[in-house]
Amino acid sequence: MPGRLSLLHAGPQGVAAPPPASSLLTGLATFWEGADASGNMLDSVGTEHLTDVNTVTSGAGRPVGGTARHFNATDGEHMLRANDAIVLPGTGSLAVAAWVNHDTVSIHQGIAGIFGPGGSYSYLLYFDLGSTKYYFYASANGSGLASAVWPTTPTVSTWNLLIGWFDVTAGTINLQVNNGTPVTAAFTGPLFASPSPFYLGRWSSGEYMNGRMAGVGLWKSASGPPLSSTQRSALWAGGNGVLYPFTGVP
Amino acid sequence: MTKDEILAECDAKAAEWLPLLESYVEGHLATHGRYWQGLKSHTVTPADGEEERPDVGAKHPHDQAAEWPPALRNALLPFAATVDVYGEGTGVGYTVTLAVVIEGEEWTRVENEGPLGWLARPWAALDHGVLA
Repeated sequence: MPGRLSLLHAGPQGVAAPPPASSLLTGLATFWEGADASGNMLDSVGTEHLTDVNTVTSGAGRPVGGTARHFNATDGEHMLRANDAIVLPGTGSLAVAAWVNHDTVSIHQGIAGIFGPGGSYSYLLYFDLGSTKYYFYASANGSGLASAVWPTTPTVSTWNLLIGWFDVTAGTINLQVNNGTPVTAAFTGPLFASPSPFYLGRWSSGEYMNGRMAGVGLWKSASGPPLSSTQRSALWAGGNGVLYPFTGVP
Repeated sequence: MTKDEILAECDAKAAEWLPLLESYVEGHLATHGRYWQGLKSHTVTPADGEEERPDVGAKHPHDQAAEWPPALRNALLPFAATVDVYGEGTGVGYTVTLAVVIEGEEWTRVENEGPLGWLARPWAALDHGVLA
């Protein structure tokens, strides 16, 4: 049956080529989507899983879909892991991005980072009650602090994309919320190689997150910004967010 | 009392009180399938070696019915205590954090029972007021 043989050897003609891999995969060290309904928060990239402390629950995710992890501050719920080469900053640039949705903004809230106790600060995304602003803190020696402060107070029950980063080439730390114009401060790195744990939803002195988090990731690069403005816009996706592995995202 | 004397006094009290707490935490695992979580025992952390009775009362985490047992919360303590429960499957464990204020500065010590041994640490000053 010549026709049948022709079909068998036809090959993949007519099959669309897969889309190119997203630029968001470049430099991506770890990504915690928040898709786990309960228990530990699993790393989508590798095995950098976070350990659940005090039973973090789950809730509705971002507009793009999926779910989020829901942190109850009163119960001290958070995630942690021992630090290692993946969450430690190394000598280059580092970005930490997190989608957050507060139930309340009436308390201090540690969001993500390696920070303390005293003399062992590295980097931290943080909500400060006193000023009601987001901060990105960085330290080069474990004790001295630099910060970039976002000028707008967040509202509760609203998803916000926070991206804090250190650019080793520019000598700056930066904070961007919801794809706005980044706030920049001078900072001579590299970031401190702290022995402290990596925390999600608190920092070493407590001050727990009260609300949901999803799409938390770390990006690194040897030089320049760890995420370009194009990549940060892609992560924002018009306020909808994107889900790992960012299929179809430029 | 000096800082070292206060911390030594806390250690001495912990040596007799912690076994009772750990027995209760682990008994909860046997009867409920998970370690018992204890919210912070004192609203105001005891200071400068003064012993205070916990005021946590009947408070408990939203997903756990058991509160602090009277035998533990009726004790006079020079520190506050918090029990955090971690992990899932075979990787479960818990920590007990003791906290005391000395001359306005809060110090904590962490005891760990479980696979995350690196969570345990001796007394260290916290960093309240460092940020913002």
